[in-house]
Amino acid sequence: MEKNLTDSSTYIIELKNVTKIYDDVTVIDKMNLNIKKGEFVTLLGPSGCGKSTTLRMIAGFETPTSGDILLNQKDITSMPPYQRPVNTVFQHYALFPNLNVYDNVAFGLRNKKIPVVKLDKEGKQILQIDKARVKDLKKQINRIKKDKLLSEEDKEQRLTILNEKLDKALSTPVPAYKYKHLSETEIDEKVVKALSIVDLDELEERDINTLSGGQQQRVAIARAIICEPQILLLDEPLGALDLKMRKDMQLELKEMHKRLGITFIYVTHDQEEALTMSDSIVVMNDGVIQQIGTPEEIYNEPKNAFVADFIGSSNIYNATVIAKKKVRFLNHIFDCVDDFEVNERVEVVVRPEDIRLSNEARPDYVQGKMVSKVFKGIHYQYVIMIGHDEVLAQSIKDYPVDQPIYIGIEPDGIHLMHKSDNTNIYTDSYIGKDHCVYIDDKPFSCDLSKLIPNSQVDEDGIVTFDKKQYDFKDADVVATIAPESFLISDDTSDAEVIGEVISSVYKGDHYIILVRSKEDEDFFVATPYTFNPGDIVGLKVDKDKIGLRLKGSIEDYEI
Amino acid sequence: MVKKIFAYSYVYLILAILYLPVLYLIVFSFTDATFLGQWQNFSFELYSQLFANKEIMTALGNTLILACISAFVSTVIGTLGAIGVYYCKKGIKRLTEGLNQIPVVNAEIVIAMSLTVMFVFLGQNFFGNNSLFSFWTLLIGHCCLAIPFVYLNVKPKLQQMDPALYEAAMDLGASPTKALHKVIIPQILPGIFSGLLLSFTLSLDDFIVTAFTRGPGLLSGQAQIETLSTLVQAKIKKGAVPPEMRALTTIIFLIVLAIVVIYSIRVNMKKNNRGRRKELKNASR
Repeated sequence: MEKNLTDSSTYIIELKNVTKIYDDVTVIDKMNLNIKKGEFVTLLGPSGCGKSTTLRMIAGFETPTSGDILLNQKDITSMPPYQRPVNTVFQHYALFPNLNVYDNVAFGLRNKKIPVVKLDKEGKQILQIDKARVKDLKKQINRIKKDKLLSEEDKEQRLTILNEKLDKALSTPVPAYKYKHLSETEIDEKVVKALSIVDLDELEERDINTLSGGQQQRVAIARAIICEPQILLLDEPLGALDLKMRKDMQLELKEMHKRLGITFIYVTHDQEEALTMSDSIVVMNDGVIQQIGTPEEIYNEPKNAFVADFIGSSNIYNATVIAKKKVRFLNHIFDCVDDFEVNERVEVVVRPEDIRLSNEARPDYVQGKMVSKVFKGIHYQYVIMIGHDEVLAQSIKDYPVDQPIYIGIEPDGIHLMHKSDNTNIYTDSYIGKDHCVYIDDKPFSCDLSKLIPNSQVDEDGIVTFDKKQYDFKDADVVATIAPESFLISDDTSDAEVIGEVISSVYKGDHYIILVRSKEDEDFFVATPYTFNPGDIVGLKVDKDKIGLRLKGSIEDYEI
Repeated sequence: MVKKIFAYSYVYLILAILYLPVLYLIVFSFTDATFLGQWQNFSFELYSQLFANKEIMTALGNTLILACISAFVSTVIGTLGAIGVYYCKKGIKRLTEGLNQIPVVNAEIVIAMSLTVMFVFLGQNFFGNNSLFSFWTLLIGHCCLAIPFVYLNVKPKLQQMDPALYEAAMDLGASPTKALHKVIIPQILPGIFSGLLLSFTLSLDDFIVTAFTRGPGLLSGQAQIETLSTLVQAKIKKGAVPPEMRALTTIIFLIVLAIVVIYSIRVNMKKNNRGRRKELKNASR
């Protein structure tokens, strides 16, 4: 998708720098997304990742705090939902209980108005100033003016363009239209067709409350596609169905997408559903797009540990490239396909189905110990310990538990990823009067002598080096903390920072956890213990483990 | 067995205490004795007198006109208010709900007094020392009384509704106004209807607020508006209750009885229908 960025005419919808902030919480952060005409795109991510908010902004139920949404290159950011050529299938269907199946489906058509050219008595077109366009432009101008995240220059530039457009719209009359409703026969024809598409031909007169979940689902789809929208939005529409029905509906939706040729934007947290149905998947976490790609790309070549962890089950390890196409992890050197720089610290992903198991030692196989076995129907799922690292494997063969086992990985089963830098760097920290470093306005006791190599510090916080004394009170510094330096605990009573767990990725023998404080500062923490998203945890750091670097000149602090 | 008899007789005793006076009233509306408790002979005399009594007929007319208008106005304001508050942010929602509770539990005399004080104050300071008291002040008084009750009747219906319905309607091309009257209003109609009935009856038999806020107008012309409750009160002050009132109250009771019976029959019919549909649905599975 990113390859033909220059050719924007194939995109039906474009999100440009879209940010949404609710009550000071950033739900979507500077999102850029282009969706091609006719594609089946899935927004995938854990709950609270902003996927539903994105969908609601496309539908028009939410307005972005900043940024633009373009439909066919036209700005629709401030257009109300009832004017957008976009329809939604809601999570709980939201069918109108006061109307029967037929009237529910016909609802959209009855609101639809067809433009007809206005003619005067002599049959000539009447020219008028386009009031709708003027209104729309005024709305856009208002929106840009209110946007607090836009830089002043951008604001001015865009306002000038919009004002020019407004002047033009006010001075040039265009052919006028009047609008008329569809006739009941036209409506009837379309309703019958839509109901036959979803196989509900005989239920026209039925009351909504008498339908089963699956039937209601079909009515919701018929109701949404009848207006021939340019984009169909589906907000976890299969969530309320049972497993078997869900599988059937997945295939049926996919089939429907092919037949109708409408762009589908589908929101789900179910990775399997996303892999089955989509042309391309947008993986989101924490309001940010992690990766965009085809299901195969997302599964086989995840861009980072989050994607690898979220899509399917996987083994993720820290590793080092030790020679060309050779990578070391699990205390062993494996051949791999990805060509990364030698000595680079990387992360590797190995899918459980790519792990070969053997009872006896073989060349290039690593010895481990079988810890557990679970029968999964088609295959067994095993957990093997190699040193401190856990390996998840699958096999149709039955191996005994508590026995030595040998594992091997084919080169194309190993996928390398550039290591996401999880070092915590806080560029807006400062030293307080109490000789603590303030990160996120929270005091952390620290070792001030780290600001100058080989210096000493006394108990008044005065740093001595080369017979000169320095007082770093109120100095701006950059603080760095390695993820391993944090002590994380459920007990928040003596914590230096209290925050909420946002995400957690398992890496063989430890988790990398993202903790966010109330003040919206992020902390990456490495821990061997499990924490779940939403847990409230306390963090502490040993004062020796905080790295400090002074911003500005050291002479300013000499005394 | 004995326990059962006791239990039943207790219930019947309570019902008797509630309904005997009404029965007594109905029986005595069919005699032309002037004094209460006397039975002279069976006649419809009181009924013909009732319709000939101009004073009572004016009061009845006033009462009905006032009840209809105030019920309509309070229902519109209360319903729109409930919908508005329902889609508000949490803080505002809680505040409005709290404020709405106070008039409900407040003593009527407080509402009546405060309205009177306000009208007098406004009249003296902003309307050139004229008296504001008229049909309009009376209407405002009755609306103040009824709006919180309409709100309380509509709110539960909104809470039962799927909040996504409004968005679904807009998504399908309905403007906010259209979405309101095509989707939201039909959903909460039972609540609106019971709110309307309640505000009608509240207005019908209100005395305190009426006595404080009324002025000249309606069928009473230049004189103070007389409603049934104020008329009875005025009559009692001078002497006995006019015998025609027995006939009138009988008629009112029978009308209310008819409404209640029709309403509960309709509700029961709906329930039965739903039950039958469920059976059908289960059978079709």
